[in-house]
Amino acid sequence: MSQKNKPSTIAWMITHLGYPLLPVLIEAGIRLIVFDWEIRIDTMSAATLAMSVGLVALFVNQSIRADSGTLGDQVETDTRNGTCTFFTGIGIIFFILFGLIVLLQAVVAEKDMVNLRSTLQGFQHVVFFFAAVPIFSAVAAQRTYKLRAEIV
Amino acid sequence: MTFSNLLDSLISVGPALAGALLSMIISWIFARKNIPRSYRIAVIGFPQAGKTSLITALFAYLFRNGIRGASIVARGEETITRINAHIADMESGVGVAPTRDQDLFAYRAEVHYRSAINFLSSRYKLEIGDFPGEQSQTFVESESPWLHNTNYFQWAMGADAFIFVVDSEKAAANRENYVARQKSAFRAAWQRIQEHHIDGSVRLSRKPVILVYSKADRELGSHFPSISSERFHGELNEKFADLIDYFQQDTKRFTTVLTSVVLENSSEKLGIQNLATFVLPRSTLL
Repeated sequence: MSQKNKPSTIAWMITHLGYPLLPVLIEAGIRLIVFDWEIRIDTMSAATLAMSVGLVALFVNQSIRADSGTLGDQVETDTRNGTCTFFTGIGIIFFILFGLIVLLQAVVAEKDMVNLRSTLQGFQHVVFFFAAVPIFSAVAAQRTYKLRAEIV
Repeated sequence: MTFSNLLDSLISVGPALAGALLSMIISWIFARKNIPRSYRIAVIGFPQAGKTSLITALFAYLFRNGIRGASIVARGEETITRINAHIADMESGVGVAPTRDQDLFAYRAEVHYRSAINFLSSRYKLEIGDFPGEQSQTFVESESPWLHNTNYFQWAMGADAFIFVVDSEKAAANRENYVARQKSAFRAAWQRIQEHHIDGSVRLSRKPVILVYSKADRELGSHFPSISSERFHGELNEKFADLIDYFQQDTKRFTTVLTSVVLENSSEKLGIQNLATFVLPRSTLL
């Protein structure tokens, strides 16, 4: 095992948080440049954020399940299963939100159903407001289960 | 791009930013309360060094005194059964049985810091890894690649504190080059930990490392406390001076402690209070 690719906390953060959230950051950066550095509510796409956060939740779930650095008893196993279920649930919720937002955006744009715009904005706000929950929970899970990864 | 442009746009999305900040604070509190951080202590030493007795004495002390205003609750049926059986053995003078191969186990407890404001209360999960001496010895002496895949190795590489245990009676007698073997083995173990620890060597240097001289009663015996335990402690420190220098260069938090699960000093087992104070986290925020 070489020094460069040894499993570490930093590598875990990059692969499980950095990579999935990269599309959101790139998209926001591009829009920021195009909008002449003006921050608007549509600078960051709620749909992309929902998908990225859903992926974070699934990645963390997989990481906890695959973690071998455990000396488990029944309570520890149950706690891990509970955490996995939590992240799976979060993932499903954000994937559904992604689908709803994309669907509503398409319907509002193509069918000109303006009355659905407030519903769309409602879902977008839900995503923006709750996106931090799985991200902070992912960091907490890493610290609880000492998760690590290696970049190959 | 102008600075005023950016400032204007920041002001225009002020409510959204405030919402995002509020969301982050709520998320942080939620995560902290529901997914408590774990604090792992790896206890490393040769067979029969007194590792399980040390863990038992540490738990007995924590159950009795708590930690810096926090309460401690054993977690899990196995931990409760084992720790209470071991405490009973220790109190009745039977002595704790050596840990066998199938006993690879982490004692778990939850530490609760209570606050008048409920959401400021916090808790963390304390895990103390107890390993059979044979595995521990393999860890400190073996270069085998298979070791990296063992549960023991994986667990130890995420530890937040390290206790290296030396049998003080054997160290004092120094038969079969016991001191030299211990020093060489612990140095190698530390180098292995530095190489593979998940937090990297810089953050590792801030974690507590303790060299424990266990079973002080075997050497001090009935002379305690007429023969000063400090003098015996000093003699052992001299024997391990180069290892101590090595640890002190590599870590910011290192100490040595002389312990006994038999002898008492101010109604506490010798050295256990010092060990608990040094090894457990200083901050509730972790």
